[in-house]
Amino acid sequence: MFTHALKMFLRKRGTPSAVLAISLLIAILASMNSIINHLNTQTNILSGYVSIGQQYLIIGINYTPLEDIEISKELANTVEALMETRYVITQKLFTANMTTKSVSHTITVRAVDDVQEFLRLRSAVIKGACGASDDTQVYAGEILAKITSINSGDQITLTINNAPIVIEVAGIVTTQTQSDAELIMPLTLVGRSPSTEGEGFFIEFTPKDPKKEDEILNSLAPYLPPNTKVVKVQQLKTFMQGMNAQTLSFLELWSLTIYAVVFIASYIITVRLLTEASYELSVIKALGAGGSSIFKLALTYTLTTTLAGTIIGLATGVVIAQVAATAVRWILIDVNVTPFLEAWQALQIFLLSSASSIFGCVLPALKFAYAPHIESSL
Amino acid sequence: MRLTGFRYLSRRRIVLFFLTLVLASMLFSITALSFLGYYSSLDSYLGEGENIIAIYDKGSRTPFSGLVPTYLAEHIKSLNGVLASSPEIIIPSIVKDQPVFVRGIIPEEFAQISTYSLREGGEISINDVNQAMMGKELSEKLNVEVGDKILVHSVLVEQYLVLNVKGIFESHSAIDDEILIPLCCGQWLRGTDQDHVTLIRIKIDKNKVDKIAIFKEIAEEATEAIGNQNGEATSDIIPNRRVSFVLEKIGLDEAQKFMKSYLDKYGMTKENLIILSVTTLIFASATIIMASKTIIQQHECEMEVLKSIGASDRAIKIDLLVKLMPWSLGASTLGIMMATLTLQIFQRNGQLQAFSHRIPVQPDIPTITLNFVLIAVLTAMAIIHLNVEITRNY
Repeated sequence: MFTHALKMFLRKRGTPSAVLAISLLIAILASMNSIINHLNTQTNILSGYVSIGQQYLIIGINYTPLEDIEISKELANTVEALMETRYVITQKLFTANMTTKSVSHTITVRAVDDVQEFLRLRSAVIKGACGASDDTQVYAGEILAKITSINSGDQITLTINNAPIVIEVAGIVTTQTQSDAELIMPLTLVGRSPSTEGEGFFIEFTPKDPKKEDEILNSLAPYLPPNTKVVKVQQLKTFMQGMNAQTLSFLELWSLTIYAVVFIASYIITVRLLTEASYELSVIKALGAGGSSIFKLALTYTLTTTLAGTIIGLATGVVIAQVAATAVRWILIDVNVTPFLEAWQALQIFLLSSASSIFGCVLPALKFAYAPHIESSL
Repeated sequence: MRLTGFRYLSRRRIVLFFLTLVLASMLFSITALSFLGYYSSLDSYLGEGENIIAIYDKGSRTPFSGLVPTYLAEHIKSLNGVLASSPEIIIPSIVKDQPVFVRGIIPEEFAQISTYSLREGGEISINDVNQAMMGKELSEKLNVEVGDKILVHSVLVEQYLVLNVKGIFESHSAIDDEILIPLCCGQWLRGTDQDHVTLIRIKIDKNKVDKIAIFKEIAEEATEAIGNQNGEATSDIIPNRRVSFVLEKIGLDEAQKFMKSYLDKYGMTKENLIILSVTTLIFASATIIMASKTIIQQHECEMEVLKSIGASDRAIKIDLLVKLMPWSLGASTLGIMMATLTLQIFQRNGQLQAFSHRIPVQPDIPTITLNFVLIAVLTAMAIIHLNVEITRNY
């Protein structure tokens, strides 16, 4: 009896319009998803044109240079032992008071374990004593030198943690990096212990063989001190993922509204069916069908129309998007849009629309199925 | 026969119809307001008004990726009628795992074109080479305070900066989602030399100079600036080297038109976005029609009685229109309000962004009017269509 009753309901006049209503709603979702897929693919393709470096940093977990953490020489050695590296440089970044003749400045100092190697890697152009090896000699960045009016050969007093040290500026360097605004000095001059406020340590390294980022991160993970992490310097992938996530976040919000309309449409479909077929349902009840049978019947009917609507909607949506894309290509010759829908997205739409539909039809179906008088139930 | 006095429509049943209209109105409003917000945020990204001119790289695919000679900013500033000339370098970056746009600026020039007020801390100067100012929206999103250190990763090249946040500012514009740093720091992060920037924004007095005069000046420079020569420097740390450039690659337009040209290039016009939003509502119209049919079906008996006492199809139709139209208007109003509220909640939670900039949610009068009209027309069409069905039923 259930199958016959369902067939009877599906042949009702209102069924095609119910399927149409759902399919049009799903078509909007499908076409929007397919266009956004295209946009995300394009951003990924574009990002492929950018060459990605292999430089990594070991930094604090809060994305800042390590504060109040001592980075031992052993960690740098561990990095070298784990993978073949082009270089590993431990750095300490801190602010200090610099006095030149009579003027005092608060400056940023970068202490590195190998100054010459550091400058070589930064492709530094050095004015002054190139290759100074004395531990009391430092290099000033070009911008810092201009701001503080220091020259190659000048004696400066650097006060770190209230302890003044007199050092000589061996040269002025231009690196086209932040080091142009810093004083570069050997790490041996300041030590590895965190001593001044706001100072930070980090390790910079580049593996010799370009490996996958995940491999590098996984191989180092067990050896990292707590509160530290490894990050790639050039983060194109994270940027693209972030951009795509922003688009998807909007799509999710927008989809919620569509599913709310699917919910209300399912409610209407059920109410309409039950109103339209009240006579037939009374007969079925009179023949002995219980409330649960009527409920199942209404639920199956709504779900069937929703599923049919979803399948048609998915197909229609993609077709509409592709037709629109073709039209856009004809009008704007430069623009090449190729919308597509992923299988998981189709499945997601299918499941979410079914869920919205079930929630939408439950209330009227229950009210109708268990009402003592059919006419007054809706 | 006048049916106004007959209360034959059940309010409980009308609520279902009303809810359908509310959701349809909300769908249209969310689509239209977010699309238009997206459009206006990009459109006004570099400033509004005809007195803001942008010098940009014609060959770049995005407004963030071109390069023009830095020295043109200083050169053009000397023209009578040029009030401010701001060379800017825009760098897509990552801070705390979040995509962020960092802008290298000359603070004094930038402040004359983009107004902002300082909320906390201090302003950066061109010599504050390891300092940054952060927009209020971004500082809240990243949970960064004045005095914090941030690590900025470049996306385009292998560069990073460790910066100290000196101040938090608010401008009620797109820059609230950006980090401002001295120009040279921006050039390091972008991986370019000090002779090039992404674009130059110029503020002009339209009574004294226009964009044609500025372009003529640039054209003359294009022929003269062969090889690198030193000019008068803006500050100690910004060299003002004249570099050669190809005039054909230099674009000059009002800042808003410049951004609009990028949007137009990809078919993203205001009209197209409204058409897209209307299409969404049209697709949802089948549900509205179905809801109308259902409400009539639920009142079949009442209408049968009205017909039996002499009410014509036309009288019933007019009465339905009169009785349902206020609901339609109410549904449109509620739909718009709910859509605006939903978008604002999402915006506050940082879930409504385009290119890492929050999308402004502003009521748009033509869109609101269109919402009322479309919902009312759909309701009226549904009732007119249903009237035929009633006649057919009897």
